[in-house]
Amino acid sequence: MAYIEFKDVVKEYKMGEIIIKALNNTNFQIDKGELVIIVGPSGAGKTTALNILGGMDNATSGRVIIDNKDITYFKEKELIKYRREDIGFVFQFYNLVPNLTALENVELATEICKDSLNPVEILKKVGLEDRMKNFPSQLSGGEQQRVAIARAIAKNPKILLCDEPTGALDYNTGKQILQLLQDTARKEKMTVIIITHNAAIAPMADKVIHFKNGTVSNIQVNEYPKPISEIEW
Amino acid sequence: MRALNKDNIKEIKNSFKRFVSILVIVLLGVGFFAGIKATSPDMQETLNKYYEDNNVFDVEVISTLGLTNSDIEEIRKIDGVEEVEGAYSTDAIVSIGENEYVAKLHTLPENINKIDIVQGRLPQSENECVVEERFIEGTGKNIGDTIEFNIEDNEEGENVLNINKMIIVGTIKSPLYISNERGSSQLGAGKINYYVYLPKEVINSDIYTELYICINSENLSSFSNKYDDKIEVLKNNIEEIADVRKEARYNELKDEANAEVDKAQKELDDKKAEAQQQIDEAQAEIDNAKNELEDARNKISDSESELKTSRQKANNEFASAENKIAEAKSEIESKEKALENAKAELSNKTSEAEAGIASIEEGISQIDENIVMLEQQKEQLEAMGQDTTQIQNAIQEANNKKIELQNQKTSIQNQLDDAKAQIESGEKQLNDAKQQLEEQENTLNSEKNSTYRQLANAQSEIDKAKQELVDGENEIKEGESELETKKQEAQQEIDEAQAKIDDARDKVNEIKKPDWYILDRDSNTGYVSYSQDTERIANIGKVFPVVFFVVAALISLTSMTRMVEEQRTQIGTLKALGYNKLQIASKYILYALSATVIGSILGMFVGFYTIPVVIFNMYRMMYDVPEFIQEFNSVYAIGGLVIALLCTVGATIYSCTRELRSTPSVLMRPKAPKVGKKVLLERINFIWSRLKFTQKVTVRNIFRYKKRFLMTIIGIAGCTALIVAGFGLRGSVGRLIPLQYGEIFKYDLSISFNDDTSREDIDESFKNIENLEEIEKAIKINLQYIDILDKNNKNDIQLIIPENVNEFNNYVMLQNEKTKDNYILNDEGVIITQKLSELLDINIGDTIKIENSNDVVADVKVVGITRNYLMHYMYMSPEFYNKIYGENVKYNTIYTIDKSLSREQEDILGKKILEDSNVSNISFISVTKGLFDDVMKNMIFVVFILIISAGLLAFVVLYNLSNVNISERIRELATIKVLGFYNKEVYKYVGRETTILTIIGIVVGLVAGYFLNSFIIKTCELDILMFDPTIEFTSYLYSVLLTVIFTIIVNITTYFALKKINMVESLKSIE
Repeated sequence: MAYIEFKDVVKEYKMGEIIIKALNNTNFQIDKGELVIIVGPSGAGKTTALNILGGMDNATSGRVIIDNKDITYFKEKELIKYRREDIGFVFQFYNLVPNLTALENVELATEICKDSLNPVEILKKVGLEDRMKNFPSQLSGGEQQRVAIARAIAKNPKILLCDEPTGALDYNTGKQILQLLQDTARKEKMTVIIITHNAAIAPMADKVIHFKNGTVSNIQVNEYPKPISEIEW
Repeated sequence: MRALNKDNIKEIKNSFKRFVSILVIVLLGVGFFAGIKATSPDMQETLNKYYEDNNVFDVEVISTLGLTNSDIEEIRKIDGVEEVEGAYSTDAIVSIGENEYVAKLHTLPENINKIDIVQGRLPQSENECVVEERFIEGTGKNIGDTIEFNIEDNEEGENVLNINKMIIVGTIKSPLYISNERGSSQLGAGKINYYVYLPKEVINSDIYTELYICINSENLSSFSNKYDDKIEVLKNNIEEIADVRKEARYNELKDEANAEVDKAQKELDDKKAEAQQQIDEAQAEIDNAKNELEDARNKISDSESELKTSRQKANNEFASAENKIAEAKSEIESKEKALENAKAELSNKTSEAEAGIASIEEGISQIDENIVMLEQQKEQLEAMGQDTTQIQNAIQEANNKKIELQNQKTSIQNQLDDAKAQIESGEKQLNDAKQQLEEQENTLNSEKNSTYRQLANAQSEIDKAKQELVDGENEIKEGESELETKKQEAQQEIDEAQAKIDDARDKVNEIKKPDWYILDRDSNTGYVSYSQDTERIANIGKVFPVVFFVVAALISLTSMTRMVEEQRTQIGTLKALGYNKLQIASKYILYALSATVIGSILGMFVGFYTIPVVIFNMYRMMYDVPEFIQEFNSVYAIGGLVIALLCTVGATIYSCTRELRSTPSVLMRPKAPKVGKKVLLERINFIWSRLKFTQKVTVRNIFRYKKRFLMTIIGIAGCTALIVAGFGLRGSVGRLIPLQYGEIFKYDLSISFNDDTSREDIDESFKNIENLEEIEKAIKINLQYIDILDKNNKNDIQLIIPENVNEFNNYVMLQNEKTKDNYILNDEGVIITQKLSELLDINIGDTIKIENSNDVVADVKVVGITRNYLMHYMYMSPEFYNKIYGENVKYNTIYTIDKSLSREQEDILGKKILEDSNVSNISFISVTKGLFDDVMKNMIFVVFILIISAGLLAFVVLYNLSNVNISERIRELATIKVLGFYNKEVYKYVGRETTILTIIGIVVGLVAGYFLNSFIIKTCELDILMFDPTIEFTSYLYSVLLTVIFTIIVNITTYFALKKINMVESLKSIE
């Protein structure tokens, strides 16, 4: 059994009279410790899938099983618990709390988790040893995203979900971040799912899931994922 | 520009919440401003209209000697006077069942102070009356029932009313009684219960007790200064003619009285004269009778003497006649005897002749025998003591005769024949004489009889007359004594009548010149308290809207700043496209402007048409005033709008200009999020390190959003302060009377005496009162109004001089307001009350010039300032009074402490005391306290108004802030939700800040409330009052609780708003 399983997942939104199917019979599986990239054009259903995976939304029908837990019809409170304990989230725009220092931003996450990791350790790991006491505004975009990743990892989640983690970053910084994510997956044996519209980075993943028109159009497994440094785009 | 306009409208649609929040705070601000501001004018206009409709007097003239039609004529001539109407009023007791009520009777008005019929109709005949509605409710009598008025007779001893039993034909409302207060009375328990209107004809008097005057007010409000000026002028004008009128009335009354007394005197004099005449007549009659009697008496005595003379005469005559007859008889007898003798001699001589010597011897023996017999006779006579000479003579004679006889013996023989013839002729002559004599005797006897009969008749007549005389004398005596009693009686009557007249004359002389009281509407307690209440509301209107406008400005500032910040990019774009600053800013200005104008207009309508009604309806429980007049007050409308615009548009312009200074390129870039920085607290390591992580976050956040921090605190503080002020105000006002009449004035009853009551009478009354079973103790007081001359004093100050300074603290507590030490009056100086010292800036040790009620001036030193809350008083000891005025105090008031009495018992006691005619007035502290309950009820409304406004303020501010807070931090909040914060934790993340700010706000609010309370109290406080501004602990507690409740309600909405935050927001790009 796969670690993460999307089975015939349908997500419908009601827009007045019209029902829009954001996800239509979507199926995929992800194993534990895999680095997965979900790729596809805008409106293909990537974000919807991410929302459902991240426990921010319920599927309309189908089944979503994560580590043998069926989260499909989780109540709000269960979903929060799921997000809290099982998910680490990295946003496109970092979403750090501007009023908190780097360390505090990490602590914000670890405060609420049972098996959290040491924030200082994590920040060291992401290479921000010297900037722990800095406020986000005093950090560069890459550094902020590192803090965001540190915040996500520190929770010691089952899945690390990243929504366009390099979207707001320049090429090199973006590369560094992707490297960090790849390293994290490898070293920490963490399941990392990256959502991007940039198909160029697909080779770094263990599995690439292509979305199109609200459903999975293709799943591609890389036997030998490339290190990020070897990928150019 | 059209595209931009479209954008503006869309903007409103898109940010409707923000638009509404500005609109609502403007609505509240303008609404409260307009509403509260308009309430006072509306209430004034309502009363004004009522007064105008019912043509209520502008000036009232009362005279101590009543007013006449000529007074009316004279006043009518005064410039500015439009109408004058005389009215009569008096107090009467109405007994219904066991209860006695005091009613104020008024004559039905003609054109001034018109009354409104509530039910039934106006009186049409003399025995009908109308009563106020409360009369029906209070007494249980109904229309159609008969009531009886019990009034003491007037001074002339006449009935005041021609008819005392009257039928109630309707209920009415009088504009003279708009409050529940009916005034005081000398009757019953001293308080008027109800008012009643009667037809004029019932009143047995041709004078008026008061004159009502209406001016041509030209629609001037009774509350305007112009009106006051006009009234002042009129009052002065009336004052000018007052002296003449007073003199006229005085003279008229005096002349009238004098005329009456003179008339009475004349009548009495006439009667006196008449009585005298009657007496004189009676006397004359008596005298006449006496004279007559005297005449009669004289006559009688004359008759008597006449009778006596007649009798004498008759007697004499008869005696002489009888004598004559007797003489004749004796002559006849002697002649007879002689004849007999001669016969016997003859026979003897014959026998002698025949018998010779024997016969002579026989003669001699016979003579001897005769002599013996005469001897015997002589003896007898001697024995009887009579003269014996005759008999001796007779004896002699007999002896002689014996000789003679012997001599004659021969001669007789010779003579015998002669003698025989002689005897025969003698016999014949004798018989004739005898017969003649007999006839004479008979005539004499008949004459005698008739004469004596006549005399007897005359005697009896005299006796009768004598008897009559005695009777007459008796009659006269009776008449005399009767006359005497009658005389005395008449004298007594006359004396009494004279005494009465003298009394009356004294009374006439005692008539004092009348006093005129020229009063305006301020003499009507209802009017005064109503206008004071409107002033109070006006004062509240000065403070409250300020709070709302400040908050409106702050809310606009935060909202618009937020809006401008949110639209940086757009501003940058527009700037880049070449729009100028004004064009760009106009969007936001228009946004604020439209929110403000709509909010203001709504606010005006809500304000003008709800708040005054609500407040008025609360006051309406206290005042009997007709339909409320609401007006759209354009001054306050425009004022409110302008202030609101200044607040919102000003705030908008301020926030726009800041952004517009930046270049487009800067604006196009997302604004760097607010820089996080260390707060001061972090530097205090030992505190900071002890804080939990979340607490640290909270602390940082609080300091991060300073504007919001400030606003929340202001909002919360404002809310708390308003509530504190509300409760504080209620407490301060509510404590006034309990403090004054519980702590300061500890006596239960004050009894005042008429001015002219003598010291002795007061002492006697005092003893009587002291001995009443209800009274525990009593003290004599001198109470008089004084003036302080060397300060600019406009207040009434009462001087109180207790007889016993040591006892006095049981009746009135004199206490140093600071040290709380009790004072005892000494002869060093006076003690004045606190407010007076504040108003006139008098301190302990100062010397002030005071003028007593007799206008005597003296310098006194102030030796103490005592705690006091109501009115102004000065206290001094009788010794000090004596020292400064050189005369002893005359006490005119008694304060008593009663055993604990129920209301009914107090009524009974009051009646008992009022029976003393020297008592002019009594007032029970309990009654005064009772009156105050109404004021307290009013204060509850004020508290409600304050709490409601506070609540609204709290809601608007907190809700708005929480919205801004959420919208500003939506990304952050969505993120922490994604991080897996439970709803509660998300709420806490934000709520903790709110809680801390609320706490700070409350603390600030408690302090601000204290000052707000003091401020309001100072604004509302009248010169005669001193509120105790202390706010009770419970007031603070309630304020905190209420604020917390309001905050919790807002926070609950925040909780749901947070819950609703879509986590997808976290995924959106930064605008």
